[in-house]
Parts: sequence; C-alpha cells; structure tokens
Amino acid sequence: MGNYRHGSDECLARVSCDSWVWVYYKLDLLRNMVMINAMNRYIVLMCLLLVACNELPIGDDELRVRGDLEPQFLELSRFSTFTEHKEVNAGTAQNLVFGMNEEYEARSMLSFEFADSSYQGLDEIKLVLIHSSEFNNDTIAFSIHLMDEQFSETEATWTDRSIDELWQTPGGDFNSDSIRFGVAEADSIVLYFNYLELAQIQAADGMIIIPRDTGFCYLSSKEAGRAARIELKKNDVTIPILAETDCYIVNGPEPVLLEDWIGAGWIFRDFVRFNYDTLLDSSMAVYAELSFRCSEYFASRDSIEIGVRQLLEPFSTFDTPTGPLIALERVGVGDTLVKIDIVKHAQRMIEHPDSNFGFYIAISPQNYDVSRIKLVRGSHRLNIGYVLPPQPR
Amino acid sequence: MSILIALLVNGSVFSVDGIGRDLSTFRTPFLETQGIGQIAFTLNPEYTLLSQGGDFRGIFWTNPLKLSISIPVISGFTVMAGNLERFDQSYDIYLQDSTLRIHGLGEGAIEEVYAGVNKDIGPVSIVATGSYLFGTAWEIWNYSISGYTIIDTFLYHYRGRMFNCGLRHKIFSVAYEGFGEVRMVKLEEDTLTIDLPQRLSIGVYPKIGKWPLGIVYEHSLWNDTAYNSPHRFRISAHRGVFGVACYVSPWYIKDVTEYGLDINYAIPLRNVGSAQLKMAFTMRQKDGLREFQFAPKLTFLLNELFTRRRK
Repeated sequence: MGNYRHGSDECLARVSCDSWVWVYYKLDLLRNMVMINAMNRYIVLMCLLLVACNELPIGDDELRVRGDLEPQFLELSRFSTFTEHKEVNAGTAQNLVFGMNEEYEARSMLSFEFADSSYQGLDEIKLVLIHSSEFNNDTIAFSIHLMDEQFSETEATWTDRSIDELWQTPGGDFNSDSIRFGVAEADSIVLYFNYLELAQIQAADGMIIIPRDTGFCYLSSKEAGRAARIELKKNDVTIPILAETDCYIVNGPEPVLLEDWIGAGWIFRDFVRFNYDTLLDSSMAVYAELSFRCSEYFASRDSIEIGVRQLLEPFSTFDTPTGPLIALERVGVGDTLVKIDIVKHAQRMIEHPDSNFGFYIAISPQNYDVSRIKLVRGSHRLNIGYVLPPQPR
Repeated sequence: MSILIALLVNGSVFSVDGIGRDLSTFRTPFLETQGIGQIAFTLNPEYTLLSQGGDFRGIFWTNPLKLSISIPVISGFTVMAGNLERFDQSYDIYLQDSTLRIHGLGEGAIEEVYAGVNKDIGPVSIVATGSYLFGTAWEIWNYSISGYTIIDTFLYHYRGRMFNCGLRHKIFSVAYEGFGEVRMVKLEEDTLTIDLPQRLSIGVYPKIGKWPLGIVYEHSLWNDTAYNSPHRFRISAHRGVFGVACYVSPWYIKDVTEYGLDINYAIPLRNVGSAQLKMAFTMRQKDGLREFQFAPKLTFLLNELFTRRRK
C-alpha cells in the first residue's frame, strides 16, 4: 500500500501498489516542469482508470455465494510408526563411499576394461580417484585390494556379489594382501603403480577400497560424470582408462524396535500412518503439514533431502509399492524440526479414504551417501487445513 | 501471465453467481435501420473499478468482437444474422480470510448466434429470430495458505436455444423472448438443463419537441425461484448524431442492481456507413459493494454493400 499527498492542490491518490506512488511522483515532477496544473489531476485519474495492479480482496463476499470457504484446521491422530530396513544396491549412486565407525562400514569397488592386455614403454601408471566436494571428507587411511570374484555393479551389496550369488565373505571377496595403502586427503587421491602391479590389476576381477581408520570419504562415481580412472602415460601422451563399473557396499546396524530412523546407503524408511477423520469428508485440503522432530544426525554433508512417498497398498514389507515422491524437503543437518508439505497426499486421502495406507519418509536419493537421522518417536504430526469446496454453478 | 489472462477476458464481480452477467438486457430483435443491407462490427472493451469500504480495485477487460448483418431480400423482407455474448461468466476476485487467500478467476461465456427475418408491412415491422446458444467457461480457484498453494478447477460446456419475436410501429414496440433453455455439462458431473427466462419488452417512442424519445419497460421472468424476475426501465433520446440513454436494470441475481448511462455519437462515413462511438457508464451495487464500469463501444456500420455490388 502506498499513499502520496500533494500539499498544494490537496490531491490524494490512495492506491494499492507502490507503482502508483511512483507514477504519481513522476507526474508531479512533470507538472512542475511544464506547469500543467489544470491537467494534473485528470492525468492521474486517467492512470487510475486505465491501469489495474492490485489484488485487494474487494467483493470477496461474492465468492462466498459459492460456498462457505472458511478454513478449518484438524490434526489427525497417529495410527502407527515404525522403521523398515533393507540392504539395497548402490550401483547407480552419484558417489562412492568408503569409511567406517562403530556402526557402519562402507567399501568401494571398481573395475576397469583395458584395451591391451600388455602395455610396453609406459612412463607412468597411476590411479586417480576424485573426491566429491559436497561432503565433509575425513582424512583416513585405506588399502586397495584386488578382487577374487567378479561383482555386478547393479546388484552387489555387502552380502551379495550378484542377485543370486553371495560373497564367500560378506563385504567382498578380495586378496588379503593389499596392492597399495594410502591416505585420503586433498581433492583427489593419486596412487602410482608399476608394470607388475598393472598386470595384476588387469588379471583381477576389480579392486576394492577398504577403510583402515574411522571416518568417511566420498568419491565421485561414473554416474556423476567424474569416474575413477587409471592414467597410462607414454612419451608425454596420457591414456585415460575410466572405471567400467563402480559401486559401494555398506554394512550397518539393524533398526531398534522402538526407534524411528531414516537412512541412506544402509537404508531405513520410516513408515507412518494417520487415522482418517470423517470431518474431512467432501472437503478440500488446502494445507497439510507433516512434521516430526529429529534428535540425532549421522551425515557427512550440511543438508539432506527428505522425501515422502505414499503407499499404494497396505503395508506388508519394505518393498510395498509406493507412488512417486509427493514431497521433497531439504533440511539442514542439526535441524530439530522438519515440516513437509503433503497437501496432495491429504487430498488423496480425502478423496479415497479407503486408500489411506500411510506413507514412507526416507532420505532421498536413498543411495546418495551413508547417513541416518533418528526421529523422535511420537513426534509425528499431520495438521490439515481444509475448506468445503465451492459449489459449481 | 495473469495480466495477460486479465486482458483477454471480461467480467463483473457478480458474474460468479448464477449463470453470469446477463448481457442481453434491453436487447430487442428489431433492426436498427429498415430496408437497407447492413454489416456492423463492434468492439467493446471495458474498464471496471470495484469499490468497497474506501478501497478500490481496477480491472481492464476486453470483449469479443461482435458481428451482425442484415440483407434485404425482397421489398420489405430482410434476413439477418449475427453473434452476441449472452451470459458473461468472467470474474476475477481475491478473498483473504486470516491465513487463507483465495483467488477466483473465471473466464468464458454463453455465446449466441442468431438468424431471423424482418417483414415490413406498411408502418409495422414484424420480426422473428432463433438463436443457438453455445460456449465454454472455466474457473480456477487458487488457494494459498502458509506458503502452500492448491488449485481447483471447474469446466462448463453450454448448448442451448432461444427464440424471439416482436412487432414495432413508429411509436411503440412489443417483443417477446422465450422457449429458451441451456444445457450445462459440468466436468465429470451430470448435465443440468437451465430454463432461461421469458422476457417481455414494451417500448414507446414519443417525440418531445425536436427530441425523439424511447421509453422501454422490460420484464424478465425466471421459473427458478432462486432468481429474481426483475422489472427494468430505460429511457433514451437522440438528436442528430448525438444520443443519450439511462436505465435501471436490477439483475436476476438477488440484491444486485445496475444503473447505467450511455452516450452515443455517430460519425457519418461518406458512401460507407457510419462509426458509432458509445461510452457506457455503469454502476452495479450490492450492499456496500459497488462496481463501476466504463465501456467505450465502437461500432462500424457498413451500409448497402450488397446493393452497390449489384449496381
């Protein structure tokens, strides 16, 4: 709102957006310059007539002839919450991770396809791993081992090397003697090899990076466009060989029965369902806020995206079918209260109360990193604002 | 985008109710000029200013182009056709209720194409027309609360009919409109048939001094008791190229009354016809809400095109 009063001619233009004040001010200047006193008020009047720029709720009672339109608010009671876990492959992840702490251990696996079985006259052989700058990477020691068994990039997990074959030892089957030790620091990791080691790498079914210290380190994967590579240098010419396959595998804790967790890498999903209230019958949700409190974060980045998916069937297992993401909210690590707009879910619940199967809260994408958030049990709330929809003509 | 939409539609805040603003008030089937062929194009933008409790809000609208044509076939017998907008369903209203904000935007109309005949028998003209009603209208209700927004939409399709007949003498006229109905199909809902009102118009045209007058009484009779059956009055005078008219026109929607003042000026276009400029000032009122409308209307009348072609 803006008001402008000109003292000399007592002309008051009460208008409803700042642009009016600007227009009036400019016109006033013009008047002073060319002395068009008599025309001034008519010019302002014409401007007022010809331009529309405000959104005042004038005549809002006319909208009410089509319905009450008074917003009502309701908090739905909680039916249940619990945590589901599943070990999921991370072959499509944007990042590779290796590291460990008291609860988790993550390892990264790589394999390369070499054009030649033997290289001659090389000046330099090196493996380049690029850190993912989005994460707060720890400086940790690691070792690289050659794999004894092949793995499937899109199927391998901590326990499985492919969908129908287990590792002989969970966590990967690899030669216990490392081919190289290193420390992950700076922007990239560069490890040099000799001819003999190159031949071993070529003969192996890949390599695995094993953490030797507490902490976590994130590398870019080929899905992020910056794959690990072996560079072969000969006569000042570098031949890069990009990783053919890369993925990481994680081992983590089992969910605690009476705790609500969401997690990525080692995946936890929090199931929550609210009781439908018949007060919502035939109404239209204009607001639905799902909120919950967080008490503990385990993450190597500053913010995490939390997504919500609606279950399409009554809950049976972790893999109960869900719809697409209905909400995605980025929260800062350390935030104690998370609020997510799920008005579409609420509207669907109103239209199909028999399909109120609840929904999953999860970190999204679920294999982006190794992270976990503990939710305060009993803190889930679903507040719905609704109106009775207007009647059609 | 919203500005663009606002510029492409027209409307009244009261159009949200019923089947919209009745644009056919004081409209009779009679020809403006007897015995000559004529084509008329009409442009009719509007500027509406809403006023309530000291606040103002302005909206600029445009109307679709109107066309009418009349062709004398044989002596005293004229056929005519044209298009009109019958019920305008456009509106643009904001509602603020504590945390909830609603923006209701409607666009569309029940349109009309008509065809008819006029027969002159001495000083008496008899006219009959039939109209086909059609149109599509949509409404978007946009709800915003606490930074969240959700949209609800309505879509309507219309098909219908209407008949007119009338008799006019030099000093009086009587016209009747009836047998009208419009079928409304709402999206995903059943069809609803709406009986349109019957309408009787009686006019007298005395001449006081050098000023020919026109006094018209109109009664619109709705079967639906949810609506008023209003009585309307209009008085007009013209002299030479100038004309003026004022009217009182209660709406069929309850408690809405419209007052209007029209000023006409006709500019003769040599050997072609005329350009008529009309400035219509309208005030609509319902309780404390007032809607002022300024609608310049420009009509190009092209006369006797067909006659000249035959020559």
